[in-house]
Amino acid sequence: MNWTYIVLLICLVLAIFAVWREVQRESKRHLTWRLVAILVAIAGLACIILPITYEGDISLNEKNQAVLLTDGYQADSISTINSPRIYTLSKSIKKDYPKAVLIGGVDDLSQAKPAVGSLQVLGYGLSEDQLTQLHNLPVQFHSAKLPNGVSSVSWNAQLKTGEKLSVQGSFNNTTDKAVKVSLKGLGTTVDSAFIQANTAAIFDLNTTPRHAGRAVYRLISTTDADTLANESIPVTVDAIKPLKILMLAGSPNFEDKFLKNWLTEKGYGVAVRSAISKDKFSQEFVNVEQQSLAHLTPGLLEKFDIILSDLEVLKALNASESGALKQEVLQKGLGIIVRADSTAHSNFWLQQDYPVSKVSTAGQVVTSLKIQGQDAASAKLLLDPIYITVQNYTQPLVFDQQNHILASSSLAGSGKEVFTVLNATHNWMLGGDENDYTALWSLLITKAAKHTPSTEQWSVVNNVPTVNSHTKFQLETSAAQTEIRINQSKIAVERQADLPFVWHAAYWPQHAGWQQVQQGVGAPQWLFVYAQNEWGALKYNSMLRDTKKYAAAFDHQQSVTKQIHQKIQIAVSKIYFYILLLLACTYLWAEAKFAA
Amino acid sequence: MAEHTGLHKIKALQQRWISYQIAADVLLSASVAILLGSALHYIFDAPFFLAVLIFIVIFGVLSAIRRPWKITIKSILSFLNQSYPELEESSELVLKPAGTLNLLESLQLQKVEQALHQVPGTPQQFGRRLKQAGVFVLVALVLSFALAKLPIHWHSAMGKLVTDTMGVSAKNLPPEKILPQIKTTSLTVTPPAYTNRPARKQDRFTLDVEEGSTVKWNIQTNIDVKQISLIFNEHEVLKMQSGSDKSNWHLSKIITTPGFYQVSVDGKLSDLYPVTVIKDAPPVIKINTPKQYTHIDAGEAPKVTINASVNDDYGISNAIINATVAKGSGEAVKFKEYKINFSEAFGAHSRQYNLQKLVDLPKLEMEPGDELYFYIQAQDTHQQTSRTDVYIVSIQDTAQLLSMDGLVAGVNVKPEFFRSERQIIIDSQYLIHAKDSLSKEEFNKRCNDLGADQKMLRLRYGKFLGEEDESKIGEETNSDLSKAENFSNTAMIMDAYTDKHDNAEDASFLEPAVKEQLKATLTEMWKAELQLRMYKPSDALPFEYKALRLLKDLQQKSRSYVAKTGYNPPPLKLEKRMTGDLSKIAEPINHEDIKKQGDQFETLKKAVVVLEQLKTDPKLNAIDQHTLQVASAQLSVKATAQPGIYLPAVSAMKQIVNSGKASENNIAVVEKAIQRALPINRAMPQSSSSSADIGLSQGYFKNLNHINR
Repeated sequence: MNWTYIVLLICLVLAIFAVWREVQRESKRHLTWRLVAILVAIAGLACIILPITYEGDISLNEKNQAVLLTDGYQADSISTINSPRIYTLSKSIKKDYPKAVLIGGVDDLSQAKPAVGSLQVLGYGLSEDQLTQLHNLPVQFHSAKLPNGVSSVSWNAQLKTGEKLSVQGSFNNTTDKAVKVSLKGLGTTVDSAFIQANTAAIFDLNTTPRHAGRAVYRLISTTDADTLANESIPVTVDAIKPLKILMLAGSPNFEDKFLKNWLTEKGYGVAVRSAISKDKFSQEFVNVEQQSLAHLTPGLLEKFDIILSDLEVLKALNASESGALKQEVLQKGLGIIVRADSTAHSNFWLQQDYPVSKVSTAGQVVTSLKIQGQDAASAKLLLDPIYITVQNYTQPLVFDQQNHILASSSLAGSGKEVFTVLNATHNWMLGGDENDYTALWSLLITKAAKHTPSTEQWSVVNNVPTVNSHTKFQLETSAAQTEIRINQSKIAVERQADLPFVWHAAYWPQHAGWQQVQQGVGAPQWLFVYAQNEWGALKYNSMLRDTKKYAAAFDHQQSVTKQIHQKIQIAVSKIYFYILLLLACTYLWAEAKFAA
Repeated sequence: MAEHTGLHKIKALQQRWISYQIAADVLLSASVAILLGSALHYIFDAPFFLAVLIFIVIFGVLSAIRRPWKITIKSILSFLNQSYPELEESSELVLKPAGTLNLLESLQLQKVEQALHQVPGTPQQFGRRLKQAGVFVLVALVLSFALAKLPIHWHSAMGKLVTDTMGVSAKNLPPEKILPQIKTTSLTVTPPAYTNRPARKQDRFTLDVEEGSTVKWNIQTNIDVKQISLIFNEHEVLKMQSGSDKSNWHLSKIITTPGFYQVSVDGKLSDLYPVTVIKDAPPVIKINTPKQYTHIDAGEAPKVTINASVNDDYGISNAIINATVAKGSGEAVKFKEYKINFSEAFGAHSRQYNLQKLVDLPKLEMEPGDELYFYIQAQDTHQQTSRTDVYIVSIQDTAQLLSMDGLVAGVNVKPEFFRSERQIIIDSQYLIHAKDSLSKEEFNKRCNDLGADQKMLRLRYGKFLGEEDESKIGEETNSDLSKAENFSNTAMIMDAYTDKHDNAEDASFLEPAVKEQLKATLTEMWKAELQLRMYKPSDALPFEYKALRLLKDLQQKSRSYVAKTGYNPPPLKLEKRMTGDLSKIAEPINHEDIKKQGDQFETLKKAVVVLEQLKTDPKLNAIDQHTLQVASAQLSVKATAQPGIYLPAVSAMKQIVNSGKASENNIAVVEKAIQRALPINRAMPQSSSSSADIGLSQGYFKNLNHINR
């Protein structure tokens, strides 16, 4: 506003000065006309400097419609739309359809003259960023068909050693040939699936990575000899941190002995307390520091991630031990694995969720087990016919072939409890079947293990972060002050207002591939940025989705009825004022010239 | 005179035709012999003189069918009549003696003689078969030549035609990269004696040889060089000897282990060439008969036919049956070993033998109740032996079956008729024994009687199963029924005229399993009776034995055992009981630290990270280069064992390390090899990490706990 006043003031002073000079002038011929010309010239000058707008109605008739061509448009569908104003953002479309006007950005549409009243978008549509630049312009979207290729995909990019990499997604095959989608890692095709011609089908490709650290797998789709797409699947495989386990046994037994041997051989820490007589314990420590296990105290329990015990041992703990255990599990998140005893049901806090039923007619049965997360059934195992009855808020983990539950897990306060009736799994080890034993105990222990606190967690906000594009990084950290470096250069961060531990950073990656990110002096982490040409179908899909959403929100028909009465500020073109100024100045010059 | 010449001409024609026919037959059989002989020789490795044999046989057969010598003058004449119209169907006149000719005939004879002169010495028709046979020979020669060149070979071990991979792969493989100084190379591979294969030559450095082969390298260079050496597995350097000048080099070496090698000409190293060793497989023995467990029932012939096939990839040198006879039982068991040779001689060292041996068990001093354990051991030309599982043949112990032990033990004595099956067996054996001394009628009668006994026994047992009691049929029924007071006594009439085999009491009399076995016993008895009724006691004997065995089993099943009780526990020390004094019990404490053994694949895993980084950032720093070098060393160790798989990766890795740059292709090759080398990871127990939320979720948890309280 200040600027306007300053301009007006200067112009006023200028006008007064000019008028005074004019009146002082000797020749009084055409004085009135000259005064008018001077005032007009100064007014014109002021109007050139100041924006002059007027309020006007916007009439949304056919004339104000424009067409925007985006990738994937059909040339023959343009003819159905009767509009002379056709724009495009892409050079290649301009080449294909020369009638279209190439514009630099979506912003240019709002500057178009006459003002664009509504927009018809053809093809795959616009990205989220571009849509915001439309400034609520009504849009009618003529969407193209779904592009050929991967229309959605997901995989677990952060793996631990031994974990399965599972790439799942859907593929839209518009070709007349079957497409082979294969997952390739370390130069080897590890899994593949076929998508039939002209169908959209889901695929699920799995492999267990053998390497450690970062690697980029490829998702390659081919028909016959043609490669349709070759996309990156970045994967990080981290090493497992060994856990510490405390076993409480009512008596020395083989099950615990085999479990202890298996765990310690893999570097895990195990302490075993087995009762050998009344208040007499045999204590074993492997890979953990030696301490007295005679009395369970909170300080002792805190040093372990998991307690593994028989139910009867836990029931027989004295009040202080039992209290310490309950406190550690419910409040501190200690995991507990409980092996069932002969009682069918009790209100003991570790058994109340797991009533056990015994099929009395049958003796011991030989059956193979179905372990959660394993595709194939395990080897046969001799079992007592005791099964867990399913309850709410429990997650069954192991079944037999008749779908009886043999192990189940649930939350116990902030900790986790796994309850199992299996008590002779060492027979697998005796039979040389380490695979099934590993699968079972890995599952049970993983399900129960105490959470390890993490200090920071990195992620990319964009779905497909691409090189040379605006990429948003997100960091969750417990640090009070953060200093982020991406590829060794410092980046400004923004703290999220409602979640103070979340920080955002924006970055324009200059090269595709792994980007090193680092918080303060923490260990460097790696995030992946894709090359420009990757995941094309996926990007088009999200553009289709976003544009459809936008078109639904700012509907063409609705906006006509809504905005027909709406006044709009329309800027007056400066050219009129230039002409006025010129005319006035010309008159002044001509009058002086010809008078002489 | 004219007459004479005509006859002469015809005889000459006959001679010629016969010789042409014989020649055609010779050529035809030769063509067949060439074709068959070369096929056998090149595909089945048969000796070439087999072709001569085939020729003789086929020629014999052909001439026996065609009998060319049987071509008579008459057939010549009829041929001439048909082929030459100018003879006017009267060439036979030539044969007629001049005196017997009438005027017309003599005139005609004149004409015929004239015409005969016009007939060519060898008419075209004579040579037709010969020409055809000639074409056959040519075709056969071409085909056999093609067979010799074709890489098809009959693989006896696999039992099917295979294309000779060595020959084909050599043609299809990309050319080897050789050093520019090398003009020509010639490798002579002499397979070891046990393979019975001839020496062969090749001009490629890639070696694919039998274990123990001697390989001789001859390298000619363009220019004189100071030294050529072969570097095996990157450490074993063998210097080649130069010949007359410094451009001819040679070396020989016995190849026993796989690996790879390089040629070094004056310090310049060539590509890596793989050395693959084909190991000799041990012989494969398959026993077709008998089965793993064979039980010879009493009454069956105590003979075993051992039928086995033995295969090897190069040749069998020997095969033998190792037999052990076990006699007696319990502690008195005795073993005796025999080595039984097959009748075949193994002098030919063929790749396959079908062996047969009839073992007469009594000749091995085997008696009923004894067992024969045997296995077959075979040895190939490379002195490798293999043996089969142990097969067991046992002869049923009739002595035990016929013993009274179970019956006189005083437990649950069965009624009299249970002994009858035994009696029938003894009677049958006696009857067989006495067959020669009995008249036929007498023999048949006694046999029939035995059958009747068998029937009685069967019917008695049948009662247990609720079968009809045949003995009552036709017999005067209860005279009580005819009494006046019993008139219209429904119960009595029903009792007399109905079968009662389905009553509930019978059904529950025996357990289902026992019933089942009893039924099986009855079936055997039926069969035995059938044979006895047909006067074949020897054929009835096995069924009788089976019936007896089943009965004995039944008897054993119905036994029950009650243990004797007579245990006296030592007296309790009451002063010590329930005192709970555990002070003397020590608490054992055991502490150990198991070092997790270093991951031997650590370097390979690290190399993967470096290679993955190279894909996007093709620069190699010093640390990464070292990592790759260590991994390269590890891969070349692998390549020593399996050059075919890991050698391309080793050379690709060398290129990466040396140039400091990596092409996509090289990375893919190396990564593929590493993927192969790395073991499968198993999921291990792990803990998930909580989010770094400065205690937000903990706060939620606490507050929720408060609300729930």
